Amino acid sequence: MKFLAILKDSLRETLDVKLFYAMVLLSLLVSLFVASVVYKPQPIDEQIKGSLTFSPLRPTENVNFDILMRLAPNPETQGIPVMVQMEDLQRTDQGPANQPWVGNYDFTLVLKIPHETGQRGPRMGPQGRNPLEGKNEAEVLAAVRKEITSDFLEETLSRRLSFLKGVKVKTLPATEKDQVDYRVSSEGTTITTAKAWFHQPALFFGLVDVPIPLMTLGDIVTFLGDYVIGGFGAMVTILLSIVMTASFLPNMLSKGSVDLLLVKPINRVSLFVYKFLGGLTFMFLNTVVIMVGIWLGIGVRTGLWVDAFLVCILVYTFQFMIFYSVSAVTAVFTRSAIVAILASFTLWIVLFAVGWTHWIFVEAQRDNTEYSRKWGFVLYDGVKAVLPRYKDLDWLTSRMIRHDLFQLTRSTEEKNKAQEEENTRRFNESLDKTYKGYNWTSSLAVSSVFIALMLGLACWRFSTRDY
Amino acid sequence: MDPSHDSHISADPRPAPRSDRFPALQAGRHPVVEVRDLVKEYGKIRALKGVSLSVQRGEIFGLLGQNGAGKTTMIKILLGIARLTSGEAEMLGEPCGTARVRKQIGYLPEDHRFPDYHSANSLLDFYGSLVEMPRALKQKRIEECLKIVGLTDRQHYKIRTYSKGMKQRLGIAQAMLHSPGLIFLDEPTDGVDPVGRREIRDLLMEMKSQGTTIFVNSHLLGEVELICDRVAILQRGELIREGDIKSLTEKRGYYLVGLAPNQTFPEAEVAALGYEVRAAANRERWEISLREGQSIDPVVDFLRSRQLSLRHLSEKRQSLEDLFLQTVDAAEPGVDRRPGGRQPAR
Ligand SMILES: Nc1ncnc2c1ncn2[C@@H]1O[C@H](COP(=O)(O)OP(=O)(O)OP(=O)(O)O)[C@@H](O)[C@H]1O
Ligand SMILES: [Mg+2]
Repeated sequence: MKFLAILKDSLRETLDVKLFYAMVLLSLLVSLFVASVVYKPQPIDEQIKGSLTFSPLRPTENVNFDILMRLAPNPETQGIPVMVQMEDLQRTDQGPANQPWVGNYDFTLVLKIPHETGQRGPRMGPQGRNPLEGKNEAEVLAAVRKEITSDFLEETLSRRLSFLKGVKVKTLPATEKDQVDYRVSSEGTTITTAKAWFHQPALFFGLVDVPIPLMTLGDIVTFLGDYVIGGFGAMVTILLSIVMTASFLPNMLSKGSVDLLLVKPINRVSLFVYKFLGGLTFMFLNTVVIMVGIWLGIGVRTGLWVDAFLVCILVYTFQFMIFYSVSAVTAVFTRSAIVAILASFTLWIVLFAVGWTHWIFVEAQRDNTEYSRKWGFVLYDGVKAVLPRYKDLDWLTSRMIRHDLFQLTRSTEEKNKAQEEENTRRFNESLDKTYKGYNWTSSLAVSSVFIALMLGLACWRFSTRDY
Repeated sequence: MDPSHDSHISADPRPAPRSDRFPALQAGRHPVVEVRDLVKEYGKIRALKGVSLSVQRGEIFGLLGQNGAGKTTMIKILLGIARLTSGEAEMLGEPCGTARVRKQIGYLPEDHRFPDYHSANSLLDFYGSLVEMPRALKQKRIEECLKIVGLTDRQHYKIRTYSKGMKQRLGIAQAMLHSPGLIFLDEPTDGVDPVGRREIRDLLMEMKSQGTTIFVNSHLLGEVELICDRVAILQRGELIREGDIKSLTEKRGYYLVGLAPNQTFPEAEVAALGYEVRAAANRERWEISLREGQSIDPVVDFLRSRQLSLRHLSEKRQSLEDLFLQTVDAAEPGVDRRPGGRQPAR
């Protein structure tokens, strides 16, 4: 009853400055934006092309990293940017056309020797130099044919086009003097559901394609959930909420206001806790709006109902509590909203930095016994262990989202069972390995102890202080 | 003549207290507030230096003193807003500041700042919920209290649109919202216009007549004198005077006499009777001082024997202000002792 009255009072306070409306509006806009993203299935040739021609060294040219590396040691072919082309793609099975992932495919892979310089052809080395200068084209072609065997291609393509199963490569007889042709055939794919198929996201109801590398729907939603929402979105939400809730307690404690509440028959600890919960509820409701919006938006668009997004509501609220407890204790000691914001931000920066550096320098080196015995390592690990685990909770949320999406995109069909079990085992293994040093229990426990200490200190100060 | 300096012989206008609110406390003159040797230190500042006082139920008690004397501190300790350093303070038979006690008191702080995102109505609703008033009663009381302080028309406007006096009226409304048996008012008429002040005085008398005990801090001695039954004077954290307002101000006996228009007051003859006579109010009133053992009756008899018509006769009292100024470091504006300033008359 009293709690509700104080909650209502806090709500009135936020509604008065239109903050709440602004936040909810923002949340709705974000949800709408997420819901406006359309995911278009990619045709298979796009994917094969995409996977074939990508080279991190020369991303704009039709070359393949593996092939270049293979050609590099041979003095005949060294430095020649052999181009890769796919031609004559055919589907050879009778499966349904709208399920490209069940098909068998044949295509011709063409390796072409460039002999033009300048703007039209690819170049290597100093500007304008012809890579074929001083070389015999026929000899180069022979060298390419020798290095790039059908076996090598079979191995490479199986790796690069990992979604194609049963890749077979046959070298075709020479037809042109500057190219080598191979016939590639595949039998089925590793992909068993539409959700694991490659998609092109397009913003604003399909208007603007997002230029991303080839990704499956599951990967796209993982990226979205993990980085865009879990990383950036949660950070912004938490920081904004810190600012918005920072003035609640100082306002209540301000001179002339606090007396009016202190004489009411409610003990100071309850008064403080209720007011604290008031701020927390504000943040919680906001997070509910935004996360449910995102969950709905993605679910409706992709059919992937990622329940981890809903669990995130609780995680983000908990993370917020870490900072809000510091804000509260600062407010009780200083009665200043600005100082409270500064204190929370300082903690945020510390936890953010410690979290990232720990992930990079400590967690990644944990298995290296030589390194992990150094006192600096131990000290850093120790300091991090007693601090609230803001970032750990982020990593764990990532893990949860990834795990959820993997489960959502895997096939449930009986005939794929063995394959899926193997996939799942390997996926879980990799998750376990990546997130070895983090677990929910200790992260929540250590953070809860921190929050309890802060709130305890604030309660003690508030209830013993003269106003 | 300032009427507050006169107390007409005829009748005490104040109604007798009707007491039914604290049955447990009714037997005997059980004090509602009892303070013994109260000391309060804020770090090095000793705000209260061993104050003892008591407030009886049903009375209006005034706490006077200069700025910084410790009046507000006293109230805050009684309400549990500040902690006492040593000594004892009891209210309604319990140690001060417990939630049970706080439920039965109303409080108007000085320099209050109501959360201005509320309207008068919603603020009272909020405070009513905090003192656990049932909904129906709360609605009824909100309406009543707003009516009493004259804020009904503006009750749904935000407090930030209120004038100072309106906020003060709202403060009084919230202090009496839950019909507490004991009300603490710190400068209740601060910022209120003369008409409003009079209304507040009437309101306090009205509450008193219903058995409410009222504890007032004020600098407006004229007002305090009008409404208080008892006063205490604090100076620099020490209680230097406490008592019934009547006995405190009754001290010097002199009378004010007035005759019918066009009649001449026989000044010399009355003086010849052995009285000290002075003209006042444009020679329409005459002040007559009594010496030890004298009575006013011979003067009245003498005037009657001269066929003069007596139109005014009142016992002039010492005003509370006179008393206050005599008692505390007179004319010192603040808390600091002025070099060469008068020493307090103890
Ligand atoms: N929170 C505090 N911290 C330190 N000193 C304080 C505090 N509150 C009051 N004091 C000091 O205690 C003394 C008494 O203050 P108090 O407010 O009780 O005076 P007052 O009689 O109400 O004065 P006024 O008539 O100006 O309202 C003053 O010297 C004041 O400076
Ligand atoms: Mg004061």
